[in-house]
Amino acid sequence: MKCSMIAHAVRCLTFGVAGAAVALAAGCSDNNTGPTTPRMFNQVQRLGNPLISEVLLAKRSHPTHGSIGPQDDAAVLGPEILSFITGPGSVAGRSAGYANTLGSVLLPDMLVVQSDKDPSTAGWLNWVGLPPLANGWGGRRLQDDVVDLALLAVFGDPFGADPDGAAGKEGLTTDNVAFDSPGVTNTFPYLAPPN
Amino acid sequence: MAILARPTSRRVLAGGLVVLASAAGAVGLAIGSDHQDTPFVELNPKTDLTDVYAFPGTSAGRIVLAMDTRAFLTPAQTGDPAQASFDHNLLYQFKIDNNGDAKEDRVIQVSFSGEGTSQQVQVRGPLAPPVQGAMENEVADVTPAVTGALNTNLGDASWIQVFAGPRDDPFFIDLEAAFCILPDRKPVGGNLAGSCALSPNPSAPFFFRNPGINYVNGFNVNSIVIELPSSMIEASAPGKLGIWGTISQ
Repeated sequence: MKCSMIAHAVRCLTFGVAGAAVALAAGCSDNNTGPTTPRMFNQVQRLGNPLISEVLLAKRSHPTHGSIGPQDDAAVLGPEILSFITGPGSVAGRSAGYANTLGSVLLPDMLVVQSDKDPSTAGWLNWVGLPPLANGWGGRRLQDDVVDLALLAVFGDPFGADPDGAAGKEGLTTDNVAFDSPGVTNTFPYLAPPN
Repeated sequence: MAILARPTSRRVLAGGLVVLASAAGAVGLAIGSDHQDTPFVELNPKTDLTDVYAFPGTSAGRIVLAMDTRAFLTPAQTGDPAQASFDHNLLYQFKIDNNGDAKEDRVIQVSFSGEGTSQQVQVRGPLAPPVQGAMENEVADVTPAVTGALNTNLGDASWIQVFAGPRDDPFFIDLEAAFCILPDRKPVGGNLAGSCALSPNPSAPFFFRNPGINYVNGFNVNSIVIELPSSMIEASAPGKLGIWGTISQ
């Protein structure tokens, strides 16, 4: 028997002392209880947009990203993300204005869907109303090349707003890898069978 | 849409990022997705949330939410029911903000009971979160909307559909090249933990090689796919939704 939470363990012990063998098996086994056993869950991983934590945050900050919700992103992670994109010694070396535009698109870190828009405009960041991106459905499709989109956003100039900041970084705007999951289908459950 | 506060020089400098500078200017790399992003998930691979997707379903008004977990599941591991299954001690959730405050208004709670081939999935919701926020979440005290075995299309195509089980990882990236450019993002252990084995190309600073090599090719993930009417996660009408996935223990 293992009980992962202290309170749960105490309850297991109580049941055990009381000799409630049936209750013990049903309520405290680590094997078959599932979520119906009352307990508390704390977040350890979070993912909205595909690039936020691994791209813009140093690895030491990933656990922080994983333990907060989107409503705290701007305050807790905003400064580090901005310092990746702009400012003295930044990795991307972009203008402050460009960094703010990018930040407003990526934070709070949620996949944005506009369910009132045409589903044919689905695709990562297609909800953004800035050219050349459309004011579309958004979300993220399985085949979206989010790595290249992210690289283009950070090192390229998709909005035509910061050509100087993008100069010389052309070799970083694509990883030259294309979607390669040919078993993906248009019907549920969409993802391809395992290898 | 929240706007980041304008950076002050103090805030910009506060990040303390690893900086890759060169005579031509500072450059670095973006790594998409979220595979093996902390030592904790390397040691506890079933807690590793690698990707979240949201795309239109097969008919009008339906939406598909998918989350992939357990990075770099090999074909051999996929044949092992202990590996190609989920952790029944974890709570997997899709969270949806439908009023623009970046706080979840609806949650879909996915949990598992049993082990290996006999494992069962339970999906509760969409419903208002029993506890809002990242911590001290609880499983709602309601009957699951859908329950059943892994590797099976569950539910109803006109209501909620659920699939949970190993799938080909659709994500694609030249991860080896990526870690050559931003080495501080490398995993602690495994094949990618060592120093960069690639030569700078075309010259320092490292640019991506062409053609690139899809490091994820051939690996699987443990996926949770849910399709449902989008009205079940919207406020009163179609509109702007913010969606994210979480794993809690």
